[in-house]
Amino acid sequence: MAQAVAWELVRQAAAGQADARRALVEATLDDLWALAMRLVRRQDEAETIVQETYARAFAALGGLTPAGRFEGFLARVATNLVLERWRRRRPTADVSEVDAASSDAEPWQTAADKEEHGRLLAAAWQAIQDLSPEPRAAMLLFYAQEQSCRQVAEVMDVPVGTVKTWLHRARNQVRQDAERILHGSGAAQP
Amino acid sequence: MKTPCDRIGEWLDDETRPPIAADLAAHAPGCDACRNPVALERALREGLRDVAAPDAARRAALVNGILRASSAAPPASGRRGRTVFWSWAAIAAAAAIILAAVLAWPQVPRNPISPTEVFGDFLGPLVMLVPPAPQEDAATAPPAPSAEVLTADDVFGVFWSDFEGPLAVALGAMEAPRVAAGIPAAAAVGPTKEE
Repeated sequence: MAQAVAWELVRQAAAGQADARRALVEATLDDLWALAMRLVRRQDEAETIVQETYARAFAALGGLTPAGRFEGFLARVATNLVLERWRRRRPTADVSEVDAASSDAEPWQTAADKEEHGRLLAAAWQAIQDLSPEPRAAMLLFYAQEQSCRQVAEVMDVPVGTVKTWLHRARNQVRQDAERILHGSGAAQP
Repeated sequence: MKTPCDRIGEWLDDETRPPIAADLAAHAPGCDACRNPVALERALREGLRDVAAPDAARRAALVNGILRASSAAPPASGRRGRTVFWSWAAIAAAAAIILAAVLAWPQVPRNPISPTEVFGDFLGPLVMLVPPAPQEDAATAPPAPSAEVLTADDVFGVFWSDFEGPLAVALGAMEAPRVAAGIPAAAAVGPTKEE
């Protein structure tokens, strides 16, 4: 994770200084891109999310109070944007992008292990896309973004207990759906 | 003492300490109840984490696009100030249009029409509650009000006179106490209002 952005830089960007804005984008873009990609799994959609996030953030810079991390503010804006899009329509991420991104992440003992893992992950991703927007976002922030329940609660502006409830229900739902998908396709259970 | 199976939920929420998590990870493969949840958990934790970063050219284009859009947009505070100004300007313009329309509206001559001319038939039961004015000397009496005052007999007298047969008999029986008290029968009282 990149070093925290100084609020002085944010203040200069709010004043309209072009070099400060560039520095702010350069310092936060990679994390924001990763967050958007973990949520939507499509490069074109992630790009749109990132652009809209900065547009909203720059419009609100003047009213920001220097508390907490600026990156947390950006994450909240991006997550809300993704939630708005999900509420309008079902996500369209390609399962192959999930599978491809994770292929080299883990040193697999055997090829069969890797194949089994890939099947399970693809089924899980398919099941995740059927979740309602808020539990889906909580699940992806928790697993993909590796945030704690408390951090997810802060980003989504809900109590920690709500996040735990969402995660519990989402896990059960994804487990059932993934098993159904795997059984339906004739794949062997792990 | 909780068994490893009991701790699965805590492990899934990432609330267990690392040694316990290691125990659970070792326990899960041999446990029918824990195997599938832990396999899914592992797949989610390890599979969703990694995403492809944009290549350098795409990243540079993205940065430039963001900065171009932000420079095209006015600063946040200025935009807010202008928004507030135009909001008030729109409200003031709307108020001016409404005021001008009211002032320019042609004045329709108004003929004084008494309410009873319009609503007399409907307001009878209500107007009857107003007691009739006491008789005064014509010289000292104030000018007669333009509105006509109806009494109860005006309303019910005419109403009752329209009934015949058994109902009229029943109504007549109801009239008996009035007659005994020296009050003229309703049916015999004609309308007092001027024709």
